[in-house]
Amino acid sequence: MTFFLAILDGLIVLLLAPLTVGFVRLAKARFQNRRGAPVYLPYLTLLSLMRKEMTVTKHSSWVFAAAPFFVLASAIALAFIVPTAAAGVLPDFASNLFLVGGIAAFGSVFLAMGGMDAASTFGNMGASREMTLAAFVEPAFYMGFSALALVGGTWSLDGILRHLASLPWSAGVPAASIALVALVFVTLAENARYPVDNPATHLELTMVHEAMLLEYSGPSLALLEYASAVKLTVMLGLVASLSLPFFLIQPPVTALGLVLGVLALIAKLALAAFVLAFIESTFVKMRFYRMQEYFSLAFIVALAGLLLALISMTR
Amino acid sequence: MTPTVLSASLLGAMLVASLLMESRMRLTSLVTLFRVQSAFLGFYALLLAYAEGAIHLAVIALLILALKAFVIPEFLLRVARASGASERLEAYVRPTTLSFAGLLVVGLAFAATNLLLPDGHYFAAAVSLSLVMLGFLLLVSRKDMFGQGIGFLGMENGIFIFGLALTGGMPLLVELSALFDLLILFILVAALVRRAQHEHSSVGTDLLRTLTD
Repeated sequence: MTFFLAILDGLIVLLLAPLTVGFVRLAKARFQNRRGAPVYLPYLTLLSLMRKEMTVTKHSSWVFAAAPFFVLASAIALAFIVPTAAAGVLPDFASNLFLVGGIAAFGSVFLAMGGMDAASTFGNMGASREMTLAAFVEPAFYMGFSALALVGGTWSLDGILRHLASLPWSAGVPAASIALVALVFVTLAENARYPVDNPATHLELTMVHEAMLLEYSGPSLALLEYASAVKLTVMLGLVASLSLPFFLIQPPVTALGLVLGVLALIAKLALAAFVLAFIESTFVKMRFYRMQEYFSLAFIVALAGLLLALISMTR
Repeated sequence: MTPTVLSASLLGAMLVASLLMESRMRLTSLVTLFRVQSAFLGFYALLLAYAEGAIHLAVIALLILALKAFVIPEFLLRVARASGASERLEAYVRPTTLSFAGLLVVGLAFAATNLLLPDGHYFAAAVSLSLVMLGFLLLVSRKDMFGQGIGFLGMENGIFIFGLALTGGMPLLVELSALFDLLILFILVAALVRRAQHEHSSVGTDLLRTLTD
């Protein structure tokens, strides 16, 4: 039964991923006084990309062709091992936060190698930038999650979510709140959003994430776009569920609980996507050479979260 | 949401705002953070007024909201714009170092309060001490009058929290005179900013040491 719930949790995220991206784009368009494309457009984009011809340069090796599959595999694995709609369904080792961090890094390494393999200038530049940012984001990532682990008493994300859901909101979440703020910083950086990267840029010189996708077309582009949508949905769903641990699907499960859990996840994702669009519309993108300020601030906020968690433990 | 949880969240938000202020190097974003912090302080005072049924606290809360969240920041930004002062702020050390130092100071404040006050109003006292120390850090590390002034006001916010949480608010007259003192101080700072900008084309306090004729 818990196995079934864990599978269900991953499948819901996989299904909702393009919808989340569509919702973020719609909300951003509304902030800019545009009407915006319909929410379901990303599904259609992915389908039409799947039907298009794939152009592969003859100067590339097998890495170029294989990279989208590795990236997508990492994103799908994240969807299954990171708890979003359900809590208490995974064994502790499966959602260990170092495993989660490792799998996320695995995806970004293959993305960078795919970007470098076609030997285009921009792909190399994007890959170099992506790896620089990945090195910067890791301290904040692990420090923020360690603060949560201290609060929850376990290294498993599933266990942390279960712990927060078992307490009343006012007893659990405030102790973790500063760490959650740090995780918002990390989410923005991991998913190449403002102020780290501009997801809608058309100027190659400013690209980070998009620069690595420049050489891809057709089905492999669809795979990469879908992978980044899944990663965004996973991170948003995780942060939203950790800060609002209500209506989670938990083991003694009923039909009503199941429906409520799915609806609650959709509501949380919509809220998180709205907040993301708000951040993207009010912040400016930072210069690449000032990125270390952003990440050290994220790291320091995460350290402050660890401090708060320690203090609330001793009281 | 019980009043205790709400007040603890407001205090926590003030602390985060103060910590973020350390690394802000642009005038508008520094002032905005200060505004947010003061608004939280006003709500905190309103909450205490509601919890204790004290009408004079509500008056003070509204005054804090009016003066610190609207009048002073607006005044400061307007003076900066009118005198043509630069939007960029300057500090003796880099913003990252500053926020790290801020974090250490907060840890120190919490540890000290932990030793001195074992129970009761522990969190409010710790936040108040942190705010005072963070404000002081801002005051000594910034080169320009805006950063120093905001640092001073941040210290003042910490002292207000201390007064509100631990003594249930000073008498109305004392609080009022403290607030109007602040207002006068800011009029003086504004005058000084205008003068310094006119004389040196900069609001850095370093330049005040040199003699001009």
